Amino acid sequence: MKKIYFLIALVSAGAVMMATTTKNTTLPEGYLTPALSTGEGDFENGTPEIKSISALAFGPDGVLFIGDSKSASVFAIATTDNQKNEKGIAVEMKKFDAKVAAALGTTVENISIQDIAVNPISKKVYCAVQLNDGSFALLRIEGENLVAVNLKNINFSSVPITNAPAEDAKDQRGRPLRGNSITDLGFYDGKVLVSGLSNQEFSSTFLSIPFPFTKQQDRSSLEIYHAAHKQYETNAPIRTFTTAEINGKKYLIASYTCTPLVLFPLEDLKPGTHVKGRTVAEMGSGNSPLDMITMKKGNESFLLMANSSRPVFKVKYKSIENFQGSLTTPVEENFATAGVDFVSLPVMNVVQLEKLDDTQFILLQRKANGDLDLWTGGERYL
Amino acid sequence: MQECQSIPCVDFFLSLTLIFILSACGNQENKPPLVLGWENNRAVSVSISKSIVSEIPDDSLQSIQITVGDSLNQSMLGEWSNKGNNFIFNPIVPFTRGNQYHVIYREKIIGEFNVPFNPDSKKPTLSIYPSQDTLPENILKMYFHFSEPMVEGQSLGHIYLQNKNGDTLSGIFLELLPELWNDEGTLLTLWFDPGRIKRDLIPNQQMGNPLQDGEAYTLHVSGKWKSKDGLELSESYSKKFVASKRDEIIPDINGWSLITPQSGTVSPLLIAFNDLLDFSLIQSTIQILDENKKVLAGEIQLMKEEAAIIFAPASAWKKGNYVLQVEPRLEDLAGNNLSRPFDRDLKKEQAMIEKKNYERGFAVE
Repeated sequence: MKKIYFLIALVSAGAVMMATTTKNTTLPEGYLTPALSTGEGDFENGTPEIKSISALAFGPDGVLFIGDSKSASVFAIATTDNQKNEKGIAVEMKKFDAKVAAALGTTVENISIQDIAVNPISKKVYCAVQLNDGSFALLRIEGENLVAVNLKNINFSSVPITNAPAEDAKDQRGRPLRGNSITDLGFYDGKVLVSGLSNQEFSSTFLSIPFPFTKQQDRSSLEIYHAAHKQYETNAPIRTFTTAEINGKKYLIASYTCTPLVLFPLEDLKPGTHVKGRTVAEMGSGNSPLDMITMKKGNESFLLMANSSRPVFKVKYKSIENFQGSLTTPVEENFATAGVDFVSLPVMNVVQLEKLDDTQFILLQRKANGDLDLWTGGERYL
Repeated sequence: MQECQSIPCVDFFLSLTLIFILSACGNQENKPPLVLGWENNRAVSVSISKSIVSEIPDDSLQSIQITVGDSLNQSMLGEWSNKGNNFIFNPIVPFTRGNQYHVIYREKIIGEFNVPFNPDSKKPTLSIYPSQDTLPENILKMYFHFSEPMVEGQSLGHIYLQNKNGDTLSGIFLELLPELWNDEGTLLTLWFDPGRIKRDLIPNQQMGNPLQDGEAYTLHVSGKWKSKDGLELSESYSKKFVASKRDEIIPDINGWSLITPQSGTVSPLLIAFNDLLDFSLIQSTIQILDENKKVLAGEIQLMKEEAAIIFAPASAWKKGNYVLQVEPRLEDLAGNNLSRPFDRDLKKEQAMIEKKNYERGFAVE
């Protein structure tokens, strides 16, 4: 057992040391997550009771985290997809939604592509799909084919993300209308990060959960606020986020539903504290940020951000580093945005964005002719 | 529990669900060649009689393909098994009602079947909340409550807002993916763009609130919106309303009026609000405690225009003291909750009191 604890410590230390600027953290080769290889810890073998898939993120050693809004839980499943590949194979699939729908025996209007994730070890692409009848599927792309990812009789572990209402409270209110939606999921520094939206109140729901999950769950719920020009403050919901190291400091980079881009030092995210993000940019109105990733070209790092009604934005991390202000006073208007400079890439209607490897990223894009195409972008966009 | 319906034995299903069109070697045993398996009202498997595919070795099941509609080149994902005189195909998700499927072997269609619409499906109806006809210009959200689970992800293709001139307004609602639905798929929450409502953000400075004080609007919902069972709304819906001035005041439970019942009766307690409150949160955040701080069993019912609720106890009231308890997350229409306004003005140093719950005592005589 000592060896196992030592390995856990190594895994945690490895995660800290290797923390990259992406949501997917790769452990050094040869490191194992003991819970997965031995069945120890809170991992068990069986069929997880997943009710829906809202978000995906990879953790260490081929562990895939599944955000399940319906059961208000995060599942960690061992994919056994551990074959290391330095470089991802570029994926090109026209009419991706039609192909997915046909593989599921239905038509495009009956499906919604919930999330795409890339295993940072194998560089294989995973895709979560919800169907109108409430069923769901987890698929992996193998060459030009789609295969179903097995979710039966596997090693898995799970953690609830909400406190279940007391039984007597349930009797009275029933809470029939409540629904929490997991909007993004990430893994960084040994912790699973979860952002969510309530269908009732306007407030932030952001959790940081140490992994491997334990029965005595140390789950930190963070109160996150957004201040506009140091005058007005809202308890603002985060729609999407990523993590990065800027000037040697680890940050959560988040975008609110009202689109400002904010930075939080990760060390400040402690339960019970009133955490306020430093706003570094406003990205325009009527727009909902959808996905953020961090890419590198040479020595330069970039944040790429997909939006519901804007092109993909590219922001240099150097600009964020250099932007020492926090939009604390109303800025001179430039009519669209304020704060750090960013470039709009000539790519519109991107609904999913995911890092494939150091130089390539995957986009799921609604084309002008209505097709939903999956393709791979490279350095020329950076 | 999986139940198999031998389709040709049932006239309805014979006509609607299965058309056996071609057999490689005929249906010599006169048994149903293709049979759907049902579970919880969903078609979860198809059983294929070996009589139509008898030359396929048992270990080559993968050479049979099931495809949907015209997508003859894309096999459905699923598992095959071999049971007695049948091959069974379990797709990874249930077959979709209303679709036609093909069984293909060696590039030839050897059978086809349809999965019928649910004959018990009902056309959905819709209620829109808030139901008042005067709403603050900084209203944060609206609710669309359907009688049936609806197709998700298409709300802004079906919902639009027009001004008094009949012009459709753009940039009013936040395009949020995924949309905010309850678990049952019957309640949609739609936010007005919070970037336009929150003071001092650039969208707010440039365009102002989505709604303007004193202006009249009509909200439209297209009757083309389909339920998950594939049926359109029973009609198109619209709601006329007028915008009133900005609401920046947090709700206060001490301003509510209580009409208390007599002890020994099961008469309801009436709680009338002095504020326009959130339709969904009203039903989730309010409870009544007895003298021992135990939650009283009962049912909360909304009154007209969400102006009040009645609480009907499960058993007769006893004489004594009770507590009306409200969670701080209860919001008014502008997103101000019991603890803090939607956008707190830091310069005014409004106190932000974080209480676990807000309480107010009352007595039953």
